[in-house]
Amino acid sequence: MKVKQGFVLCETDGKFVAVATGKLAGQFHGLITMNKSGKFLWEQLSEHISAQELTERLLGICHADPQAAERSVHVFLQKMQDAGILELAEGEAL
Amino acid sequence: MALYRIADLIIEITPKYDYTPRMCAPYEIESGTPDMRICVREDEISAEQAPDVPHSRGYLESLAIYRKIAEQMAAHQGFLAHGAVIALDGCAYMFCAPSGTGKTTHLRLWQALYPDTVVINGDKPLIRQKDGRMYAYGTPWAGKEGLQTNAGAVLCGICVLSRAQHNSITPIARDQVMAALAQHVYFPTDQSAAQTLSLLAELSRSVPVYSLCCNTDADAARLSYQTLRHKE
Repeated sequence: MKVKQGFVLCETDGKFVAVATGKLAGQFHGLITMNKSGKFLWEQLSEHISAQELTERLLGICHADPQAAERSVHVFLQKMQDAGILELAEGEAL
Repeated sequence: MALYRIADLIIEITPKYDYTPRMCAPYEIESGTPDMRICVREDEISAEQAPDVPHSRGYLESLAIYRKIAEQMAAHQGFLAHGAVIALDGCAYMFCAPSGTGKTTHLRLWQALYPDTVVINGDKPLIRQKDGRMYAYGTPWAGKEGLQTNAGAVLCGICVLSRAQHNSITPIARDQVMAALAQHVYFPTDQSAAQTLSLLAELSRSVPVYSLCCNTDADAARLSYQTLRHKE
C-alpha cells in the first residue's frame, strides 16, 4: 500500500497535516493531522510497502514494544484508509 | 492574448478558443505588467472533461485556465474557494457547501430581504490576504448562474452550509475551522499547498466561521444575517 498521488503532507503551526490537492480535493473531506511518528509512516508510504515492513521500519527508529508498534501502525493505516488516502496493491488488504 | 484584472492581479491569458475571452470581457484591461501568464495545452483542456457530461473545448479550456490560476494563487497570498460570496456595507460573507446544497438559494434570500446585497461570486471566488486582512473577490468564473461582480471586499464571516428542516447556526471552534473549510479550498498540486494551508490557518484565526443548518425559508437568511452582522 502507498499514499495515493495527489495527497501531500504539510507542516503548519508545528503540526503535520495531510491535504488533498488538485482535483482530489472534492473527494476528500477535511484534513488529517498527525504527529512526528505519523509523518515518518507517511514518508515510508511514498512507495508500496506492507504493514509488516512499515512496523519494522517504525521499530527501527523508536524503542517501542513490537505489539504496541504494530497496533499503532494498524490504527494509522485504518485512519488513512477510511479517509481514502491509501492505494492498495492488487489483492492487498489492510 | 489579453490582460485582465482579477482579484487585484493582472493576469495575461492566451486562449485557444473564444469562450474564455467572452466570459472574462468585463475584467479586461488595456495595459499592465502581468502578475501571471496563463495558457493551457490541449491535454490539460481534455483533462477537464467529466466522463458523463459533454462540454465544448472552449468551456473546458476556461476550466483549465482557472485551475492554472488557482495553482498559482499561493504565490500571491491567495487561494480559490468553493463558496458563494455576498457583500453588504463593505463586508463580504462566504457560504461554503457542496454544489446543489442551496448556496444560490440562500444568496437569493439575502438579496430579497436586504436589497443592497451584492453577489461577489456565486461559486468560486478568489481569496487573498492583503495588509493582514482576508479579501474575497469576484471573478468571471461564477458557476451555472454566472452571478458575480468585479469587486472585492473584506471577508467578515463564513458559514459552512448544510440543509436541514429547521434553521440553526453555531460557531465552529477555532481548532476545527481548518478541517471544516479544507474541503472547500483548492490546494495546489505543487509545493505551494503548504502555503495555502498557512493562509487557511491565518483565515481561521481572523474570520469567524459558523455551521449553518438551514432550509429555504426567509428566516434562514435572517438568521445568518443577524449572526454574521452582529458578531461579538
